[in-house]
Amino acid sequence: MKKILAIGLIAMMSFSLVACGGGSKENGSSSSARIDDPLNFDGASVAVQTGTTAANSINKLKEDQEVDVHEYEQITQGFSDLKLGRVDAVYVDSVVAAYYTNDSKDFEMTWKSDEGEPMAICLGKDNEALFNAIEAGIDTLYYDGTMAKLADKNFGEDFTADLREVTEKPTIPGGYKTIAEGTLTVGAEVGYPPMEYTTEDGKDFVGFDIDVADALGELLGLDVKFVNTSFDGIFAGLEKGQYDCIISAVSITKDRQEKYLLTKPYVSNALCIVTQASDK
Amino acid sequence: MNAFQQIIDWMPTLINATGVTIALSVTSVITALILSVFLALGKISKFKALRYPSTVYVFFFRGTPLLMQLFFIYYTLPNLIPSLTITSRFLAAFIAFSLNVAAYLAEIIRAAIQSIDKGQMEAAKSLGLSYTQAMMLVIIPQAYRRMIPPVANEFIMVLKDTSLVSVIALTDLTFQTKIIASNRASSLVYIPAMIIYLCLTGIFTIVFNRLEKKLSIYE
Repeated sequence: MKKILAIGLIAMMSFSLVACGGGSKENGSSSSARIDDPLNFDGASVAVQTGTTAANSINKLKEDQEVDVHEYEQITQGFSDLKLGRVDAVYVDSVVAAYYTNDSKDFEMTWKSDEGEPMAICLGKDNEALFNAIEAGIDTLYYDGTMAKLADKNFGEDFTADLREVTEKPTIPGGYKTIAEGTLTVGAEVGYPPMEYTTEDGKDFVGFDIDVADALGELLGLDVKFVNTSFDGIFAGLEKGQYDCIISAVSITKDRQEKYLLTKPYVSNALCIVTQASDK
Repeated sequence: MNAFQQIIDWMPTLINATGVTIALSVTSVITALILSVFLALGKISKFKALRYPSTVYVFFFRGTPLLMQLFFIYYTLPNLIPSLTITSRFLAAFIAFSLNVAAYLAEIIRAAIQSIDKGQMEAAKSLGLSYTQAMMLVIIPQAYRRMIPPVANEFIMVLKDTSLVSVIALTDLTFQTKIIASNRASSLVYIPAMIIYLCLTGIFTIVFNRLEKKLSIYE
């Protein structure tokens, strides 16, 4: 009896030691060096969202540097942890970075990639008719100035400028089919401000993508229904036919272009680093 | 063959993440066991000062989802009381799991103790043993064995519940699997991950079976 108790206690103590050891390794290392370039990630703990281009990019950087990468299911939690000092930086799309750093005393953007990674609406390969209709629909939104208005409303600055030159009013081709008749079913990961997020009472979806989807639905004469999906499974959901298209801040990458139909860009974007404000 | 090669390539990353899963479930169940003995004794105590706090504790931790407790400890507490900011994700998860599991184990232990025939306590007392002596020497040694199957059950539940830690960005086996699945756009990775879980529960089932046999030699 005493032996069992003693062994139990020893096991317990050694395990708690292991736990503490693991803990100190994970601590947000408060490296004094300013993180103003992905090449300076060495020794820092960085938050990214699973399945995003930022996650892919940082996993490549990890081959040459010691980066303590923390993957989050939602980037909003990454910003909570940045505020609490649990991570040193958040590696994220510039539209989101702008949302968190504009008028914020807590955060600042320390770096923005020169290589643009604009965003597009994504459809399945076999859905060409709807693809053409949506592409023409986006053109129409550019032509009549709706896009600029929506950008101003959601971003405060125009992330849609200079992406498309539409001089003639486009005609929207018909003959497309949607999963549910008369309804455009849109996959989105709601929790990515300012692109798609919920109002403070948690009832309604708002954001740039939501507005764009609604505007497109109006042009195409379809009701719009959103399916809230986590981003790491959003492409699998498209393949399974759970929605007609993804309007969820999808950055254009070669890999995605090979597998899916991506429209021309509708929002300009680039990877960014956000840290705690230095004067804080 | 290609798929097989892929699975082999993923193994080191998956096994790394399995370490978190095992460490978290084993440490928290052991801590919870110790905590729960006191809770169980508190719940069957004659003294209100012991009985009420234990009852409230069990009520609270069984009555709210583990996921929310995890969120509360990691995200809400630091906002309410900044000095309670836990920087280590593992430590936060460990605390949440220990506190939660203790509530369930307390009920298991209480049931085991109360399942021992009343005559045992009466006999022990009539032989002149005190309440503490009777508990430690007569009742608890017998309750031990009856606890093993439900505790094993609870342990296996915890092993799989650790997948909840992905909400605080702690990479356990489930989260690592999801990361690989989304980065490589391949859902094949769920196969080795499930096999690892099966192996883990298999090993622990054998351990608990052995333990049960060993402790039931007097029955």
